[in-house]
Amino acid sequence: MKKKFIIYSLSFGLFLGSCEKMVKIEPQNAISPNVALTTIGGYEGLMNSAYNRLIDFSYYGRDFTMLGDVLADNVYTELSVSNNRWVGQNSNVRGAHYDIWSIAYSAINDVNTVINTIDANIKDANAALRVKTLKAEAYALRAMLYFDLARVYGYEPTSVTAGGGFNLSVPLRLKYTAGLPEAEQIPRGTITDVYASIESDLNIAIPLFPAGAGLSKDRFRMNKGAAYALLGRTLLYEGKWAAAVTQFDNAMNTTNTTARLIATGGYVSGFKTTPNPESFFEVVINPNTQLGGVIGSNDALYSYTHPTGYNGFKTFGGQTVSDELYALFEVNDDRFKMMFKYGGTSPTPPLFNWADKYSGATGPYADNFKVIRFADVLLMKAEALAELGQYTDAATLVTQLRTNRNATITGIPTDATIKNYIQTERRRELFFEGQRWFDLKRRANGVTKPAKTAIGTISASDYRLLAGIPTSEVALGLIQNPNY
Amino acid sequence: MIMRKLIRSLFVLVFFVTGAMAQQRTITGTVTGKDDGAPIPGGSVRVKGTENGTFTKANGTYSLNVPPEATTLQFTYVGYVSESRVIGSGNINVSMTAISEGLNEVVVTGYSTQKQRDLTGAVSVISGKTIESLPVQTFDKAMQGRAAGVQVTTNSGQPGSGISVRIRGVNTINGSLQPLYIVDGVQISAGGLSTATTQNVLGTINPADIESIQVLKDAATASIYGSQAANGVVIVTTKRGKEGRTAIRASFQKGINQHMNPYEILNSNEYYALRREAAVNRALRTGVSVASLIANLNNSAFGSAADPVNLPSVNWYNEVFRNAPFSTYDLSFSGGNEKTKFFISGTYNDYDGVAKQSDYKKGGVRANLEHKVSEKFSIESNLNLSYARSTGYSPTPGFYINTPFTGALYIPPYNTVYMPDGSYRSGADLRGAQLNIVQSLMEELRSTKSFQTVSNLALNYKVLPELSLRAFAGLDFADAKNYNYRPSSIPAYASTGGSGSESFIRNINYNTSITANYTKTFNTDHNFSALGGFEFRSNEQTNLGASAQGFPSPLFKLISQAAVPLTTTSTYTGFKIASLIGSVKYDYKGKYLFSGNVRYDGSSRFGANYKFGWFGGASAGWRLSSEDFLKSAEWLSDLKLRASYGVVGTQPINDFQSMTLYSSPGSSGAYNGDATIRQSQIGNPLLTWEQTAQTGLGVDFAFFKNRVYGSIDIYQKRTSKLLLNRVLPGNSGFSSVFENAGKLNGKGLDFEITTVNLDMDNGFRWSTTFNIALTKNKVVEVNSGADRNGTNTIVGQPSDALWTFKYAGVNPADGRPMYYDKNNNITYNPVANDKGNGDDRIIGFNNPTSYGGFGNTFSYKGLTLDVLFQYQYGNSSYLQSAQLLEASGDGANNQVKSQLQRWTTPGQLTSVPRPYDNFFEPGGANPANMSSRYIQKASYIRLKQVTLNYKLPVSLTSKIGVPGISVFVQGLNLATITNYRGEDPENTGNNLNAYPNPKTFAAGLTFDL
Repeated sequence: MKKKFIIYSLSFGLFLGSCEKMVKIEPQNAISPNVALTTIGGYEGLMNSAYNRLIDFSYYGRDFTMLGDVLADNVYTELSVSNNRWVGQNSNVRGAHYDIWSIAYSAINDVNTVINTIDANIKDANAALRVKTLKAEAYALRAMLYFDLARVYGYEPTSVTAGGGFNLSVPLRLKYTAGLPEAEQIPRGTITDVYASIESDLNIAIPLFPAGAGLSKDRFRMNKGAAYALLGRTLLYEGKWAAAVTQFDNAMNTTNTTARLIATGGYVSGFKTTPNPESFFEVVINPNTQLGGVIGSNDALYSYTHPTGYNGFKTFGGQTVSDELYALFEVNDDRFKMMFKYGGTSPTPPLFNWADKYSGATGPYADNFKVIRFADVLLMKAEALAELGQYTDAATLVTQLRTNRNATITGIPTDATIKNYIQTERRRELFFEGQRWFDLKRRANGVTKPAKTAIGTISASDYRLLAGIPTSEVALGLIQNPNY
Repeated sequence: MIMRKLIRSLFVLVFFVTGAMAQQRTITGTVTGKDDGAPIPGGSVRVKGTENGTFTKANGTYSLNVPPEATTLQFTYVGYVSESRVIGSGNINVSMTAISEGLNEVVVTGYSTQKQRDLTGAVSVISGKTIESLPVQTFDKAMQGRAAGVQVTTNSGQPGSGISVRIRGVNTINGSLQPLYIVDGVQISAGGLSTATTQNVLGTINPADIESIQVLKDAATASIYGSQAANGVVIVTTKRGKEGRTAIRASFQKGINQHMNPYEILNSNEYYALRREAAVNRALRTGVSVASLIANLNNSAFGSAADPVNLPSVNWYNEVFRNAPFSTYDLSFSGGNEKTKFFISGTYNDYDGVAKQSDYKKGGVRANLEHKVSEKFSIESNLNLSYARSTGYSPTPGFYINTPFTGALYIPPYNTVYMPDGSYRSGADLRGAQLNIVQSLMEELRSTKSFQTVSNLALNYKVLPELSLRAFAGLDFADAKNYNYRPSSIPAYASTGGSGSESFIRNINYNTSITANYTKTFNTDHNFSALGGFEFRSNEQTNLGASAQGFPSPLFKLISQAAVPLTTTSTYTGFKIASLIGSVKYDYKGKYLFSGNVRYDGSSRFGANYKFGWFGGASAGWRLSSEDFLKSAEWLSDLKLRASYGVVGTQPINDFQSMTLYSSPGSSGAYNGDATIRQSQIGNPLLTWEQTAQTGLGVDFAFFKNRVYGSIDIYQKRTSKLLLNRVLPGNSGFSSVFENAGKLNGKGLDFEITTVNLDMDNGFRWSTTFNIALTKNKVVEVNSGADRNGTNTIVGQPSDALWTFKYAGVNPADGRPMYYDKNNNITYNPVANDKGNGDDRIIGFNNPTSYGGFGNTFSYKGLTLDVLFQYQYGNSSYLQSAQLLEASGDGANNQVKSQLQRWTTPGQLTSVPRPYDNFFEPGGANPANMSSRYIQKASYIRLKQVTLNYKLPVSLTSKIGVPGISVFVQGLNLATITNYRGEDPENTGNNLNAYPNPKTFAAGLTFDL
């Protein structure tokens, strides 16, 4: 009997001894940071994560690429067929706006992690070039992310006066969030601070990129040409016209990019080519894995911009070309060939104006998103020149573009009125690419809505020009934008 | 059922005693049950003090040769009071009395058992007999209304769906609300196995196999389960074989399910009138020509600008529902001898759901075996295997076009389901809607097929008469295959060539323990027992799946046949718990009772800094009725005071929540074909369990020879270290992290009483049972010193507040919807602010303040009528479906009839705003946005169950050799009294995409032989 007792107590004791180990279990879907970031592959993955976040439907995957037209004057949301998509945005209802905060900052945390830790963790000399390039991409992408945040949630240096001098931009977070202690709130930076940081990031990135124009597939990632173009755009938003011209020239320099202005007759097909020959930077979306199933027809821009039944696809289409935009085109303009007329669900009248810019070029419902492209840069350079009073030089660029688009080149002004002409040309060239809202906003022109919306004009001082700061951030101490 | 047995004890025993004759002779007789006079087959009859004996036959008769020296016969049968009869000259007929379960029933309270009369905590017991014939797929559903303090809500009418059970209110904000389930010692986490629809893991336990369900409500008793016990513990014990003749029971039942209360939606003419009015109102308001907007409306609706004539009208809501038949078959064998006992059963269930293409089929077998190897060593094993197949719909709340419950509402009624050629109306022919829901229901395939077992093996060894050791291992294993196929024949999926996904989920959950139990009675009056042991639990879930699109035709349905592989998933998650257990019980003469539990729990879910924690509790009881000063009180059958205090826990919600982790989002998160990793969560090494301390006081009482009995309990809960979301600045790249902070207090009262109202000599009996739970909680403190956490957790208020705008009705002048602003002035454009300074406010609370049940049983001879009502009171609930259905015709979706009351003329008083196409009037809010208009009190009383059972007279049935035949008819959810406008006040979620509970009618037969 005693023996048994001893055996029982012994085995019991053994169980107790191993208690601590018994409740250890390693997750398999995820790994801890000190393992994840020990290889260059880890950093490649982290950088891919940042690019992947651009695909989010609240960002370049949909809203950022198109909402600029809906909030402004290029789109009329046809109520009878829109399935309530973007109805509020098209009427500029309070709060119906961009919402890129969390996705942009998640991507910023990815690139911050690369910028902050890659040098310390990757010492392998063989990986030195990759480290340098990844850092360049990370800095350039961070600049882009902050630039987008800054223009959604704050005024531009050129429009801050019209906005009543409200000079707050977004929190400038340049350190990655390693753990809870780093997740503290930081206040909103000023517009000056944030734009300075964007310039600085791009100026760090540009020399880090490898020399030469690279391959066309490099345009699916941040690259030297795109960084120059972005820097030019930043300077333009700051009203630094001469500096902007220099950077636009750098961007278009064939030693820095393979992006080229599309020749006559190629506008429509350019949008079905990957990458678009004009793209400095284009976000790739995989139609199989990233637009699968319900999401494809639910949220894709194809779905938003095509009537149901057109091409036999089911859509949530209601984003039609506004009558005002439609009226801007000459019939022979290549860009007008994007337009088509179709009913809400069938070819029968009443017909609406639609645009085929997102045609499902890479698969059902799938199109790549152009972050910045050649014609945009060309017109921004023209704009900067015009602001410098170099009207003739500006007109030359506009002429170059219009020639390549099969549009007439008579009547292009060579005086101060070219400033407005360039904006209209931007509208014709860049419609449905999300630029219109920011063009109107940064130039403090107010937004004259399509007549069918019955809204009239939203003034340059209207609070709705800024998106509201997420309420959760306000609850944690951030200053809210006026009137929200 | 308890009452029926109880009544047996109320009859006076009749003895037939005659003089003894000193000769070997044969004694014959019949043994019957006292209450119904039915024969007791398999009863033991033996000469007292000898092994000489026999068992009664199927008709209750016996025949036994007795030696001359025999004086007394002893009659025993499990569940009945043993009887002795002095052997006389004649036959001996015995009428046996069932044991009054209420007090002597053995209750499982964790790792040991206890007589119910000795309980010092609050434990509700539900006898298996009350639920064995109910047409419910899972036993948790059957607990509804039957135990005080146990709230059961069926969130979905999908047969076999998940159920939510809450014991004594809500004491957590983010933790699990479900109790810990223990089936024959195996710990099971409530939940589902389905990604296609909803399938309850508890479905593997056949309700007909259940002997009893015990609900541990107080923390002192539940604390033996430590960090898993804050929501109470439900212990299920399945049936065991009984010594004696093999009893066979067969029962089957057939019935029909019906939609309880479908929405009444508009016909085409009514619908078109609203839509047209909406377009006109919009045109007038925006200054666009009325004719052009009407032309647009007509064109999008009918393909021509002209006004329609002779509109067809289809009620799409009715098209997706049906009368759904079901049937259940159960067969069991039980018996055994002194050494070996068995209970073996098989079951098959076939339930159709009231929504088309939803069903639940289940088959299962069970073998419960016990064997005594020697006097000291015994083994027990419960083996079960079940297969369940569910087809149905995603239960996730949402405005979906492809589930029947919201999808049917989206389709304007002038669309017929089919084209004249018999094909489904779809594409451009389906006007104003995206998807023909009937086609989608009939052609899309969604199913979950699962195999599951909850089985165990236990070895018992008696080291000493007082000391026994038990080694236990139990497994809860499930494999579930989920399948979804969307064929290209449905236009919405045509462009991708159809899509399919298949996934396998494997759950391996086991617990194993070694316990030592010491029981001894000292000096005849001091009863003492102690238990100590070690337990380990491991729970792992893996999921493997893939999806693809581009099928050659709808006839090819496996993902390997598709052209384009899409995604692959493989996930792994799990947790481990290791614990030391200790328990002591002591009583003095059954008068002063004491019990204490302690558990030391370590869990992989706890953060690195808090891996282990102590839990425990103590309770005491005082049986006043055994005191001398009350012994003379004839009217008092039993009176016991109880007090308890215990500390229990709730584990963090997710398995690896305390760690900082990098993960790969897989192919959908890749960029341009290159793999991605990212920091998926931010760790909190301080994360640990929520702690709930509960104090309870109770009284058990029985009066007038147990004709009135019941209990009252009051309790107070103090939960601290609440698992709360700490919102992180979004600019950190993370939205939130869980931390332990804040306090939530709760208190309540449980009361249950049973009375035998009538007990007449002619056999008519009427008894009533009633239970009610009052419960209330209050958020005392949240993290960061804030006055709220999220929208719904507000300091100083009950948890789960419903927070939105207050609707002020319709402006009689112009028909616009009005709301109250924060100063209670009228506004048309209310502003939300979850910091509390917007126009939104508390509209109600999600949790009821009281709930319970009320039942009556009438019996006369073999006829029994059970009527059970179940109710809940005081909770408010969203009516999110009404955001579609009660929107004045502003959108293309259909409306309920009440919307015909919309505002049309100045001065009109109504609560329905004027129709306005596409919702947004300039300067106004969307009238279909959430507001108090779409929240309503969801109190209800429901006639839950009516069962009429007739046990055929034995005299009749024994002639055909089947001694027990019962016929029954029953109905569930027969009537509901409520003001709630949703279909079912029991769907307490948000009443969105909710599968309503059905009304059920059934008839069945039970054979006992």
